[in-house]
Amino acid sequence: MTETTTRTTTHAAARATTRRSRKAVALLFAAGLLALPGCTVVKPWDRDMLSRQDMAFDADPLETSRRNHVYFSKEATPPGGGAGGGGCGCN
Amino acid sequence: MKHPKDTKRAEGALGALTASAMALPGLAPAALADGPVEETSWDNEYSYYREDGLRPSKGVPGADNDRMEIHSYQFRVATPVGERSDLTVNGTYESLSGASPWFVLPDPVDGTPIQVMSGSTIDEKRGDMLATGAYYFDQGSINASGGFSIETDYYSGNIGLGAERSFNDKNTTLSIGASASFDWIRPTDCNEFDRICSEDKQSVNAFAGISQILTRHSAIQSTLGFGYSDGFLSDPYKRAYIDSIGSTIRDSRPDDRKQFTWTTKYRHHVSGFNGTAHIDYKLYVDDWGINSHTLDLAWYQSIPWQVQIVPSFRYYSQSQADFYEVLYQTPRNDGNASSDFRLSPYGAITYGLKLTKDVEDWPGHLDWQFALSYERYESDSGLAFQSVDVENPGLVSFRIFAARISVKF
Repeated sequence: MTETTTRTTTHAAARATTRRSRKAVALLFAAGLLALPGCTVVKPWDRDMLSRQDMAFDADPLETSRRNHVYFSKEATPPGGGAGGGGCGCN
Repeated sequence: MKHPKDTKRAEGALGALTASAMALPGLAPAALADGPVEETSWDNEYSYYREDGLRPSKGVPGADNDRMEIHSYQFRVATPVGERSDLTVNGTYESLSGASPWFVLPDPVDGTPIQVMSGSTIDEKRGDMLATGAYYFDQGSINASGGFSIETDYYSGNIGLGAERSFNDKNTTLSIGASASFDWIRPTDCNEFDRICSEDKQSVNAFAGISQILTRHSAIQSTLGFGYSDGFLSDPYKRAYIDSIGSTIRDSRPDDRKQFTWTTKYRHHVSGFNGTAHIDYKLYVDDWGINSHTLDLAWYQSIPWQVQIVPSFRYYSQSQADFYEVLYQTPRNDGNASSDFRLSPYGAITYGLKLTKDVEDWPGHLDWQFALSYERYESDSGLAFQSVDVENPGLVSFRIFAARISVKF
């Protein structure tokens, strides 16, 4: 009886794990579906919106350099696309 | 103990490091830029930076608690050179004055940490310049950079190389880059105030990034960065209080540092609103024990009369360095000591507003853009992700006003 109960509990746990795994796979699949647009090729003549100044990853270079300038001097984190360096290491 | 008013140019090193950060070449991979600039542009910006005074409860009673203010002029010129290359030159000249945190002491009454400031004797000028040349192929580009920063007690130079390659009908762009910087530190009044008199440091940085067009209205960029610094990484103008000896010692940090960043930027244009969303996130980890999260949000709203309104919000949270203490009971075995608020655990928010106005075909048939912006930054231990036992009394809040004029020839 005890063995049966244990086995039942184990199976229940296994089913729960399987359900969780399926949920995880489903979530990953959903994420993959969401990422599918990334596979779409946007032709050059369809990039009018992408060429807007406010669509640039660095839309205002002077503002970006000023912000990097300030935040790097007041926080421990280096700016932008890479790790910081130079300077006195005061932060 | 030295009198705070005698400490000069504590912000000098600070200014220099910020300059170097700005001057680091090749650390901002460009996406969607598949050719050289087609016309010469000239951007000019004046900005005024002012820190709030230290709150009375955080400072020495009766002391002057004013902090830094900075007037800064920046310019950027980008111009085509031949059919396949361009040149960009950035420069800054700024004037810094005021006071900065020097060390932390226990309040004689209740033992809470109080911030001792350097005194309003800092008066510093700084200049920097960075030039970048790029050559474009049909499916990519290469670039090289060189720059320097100069002030009285700090000199820095850097060089960098980068490359980009586009794939998938230029929907995907891979970017890589590397740079090196060399810094020389010559603190003022070194013998008088127990500072190092001459030190240097070297840094190398590298990044690899990918930019991807997702739809006609959206694009994403993700970049991994690595940095390694070696040499004098302490702040020569700061000190740390050790309770067991009842005095302060020099700020002292490890002589090397490894830093990792992972930055992701997303852009989405919403045609129905004629606006564009910017969503940026940065994860940072280093081998000093600090990790941080930065979330940047902005909305670029176009309205009639070629005006754009840009509200923005930024959230930042960092953990502390392993060796950081606001007050040390006894010296550490490894000799490290720093009570710098920039190594302390805290969080910060920034909110801002920018207005831009485009004017086309104006005097001389030139295209102009005018911009005004305001930003407010507030830091507090209560804004950190993690709970903070003791807040560093030197945490800073500031505001920035900026005005920019840009013209295309």
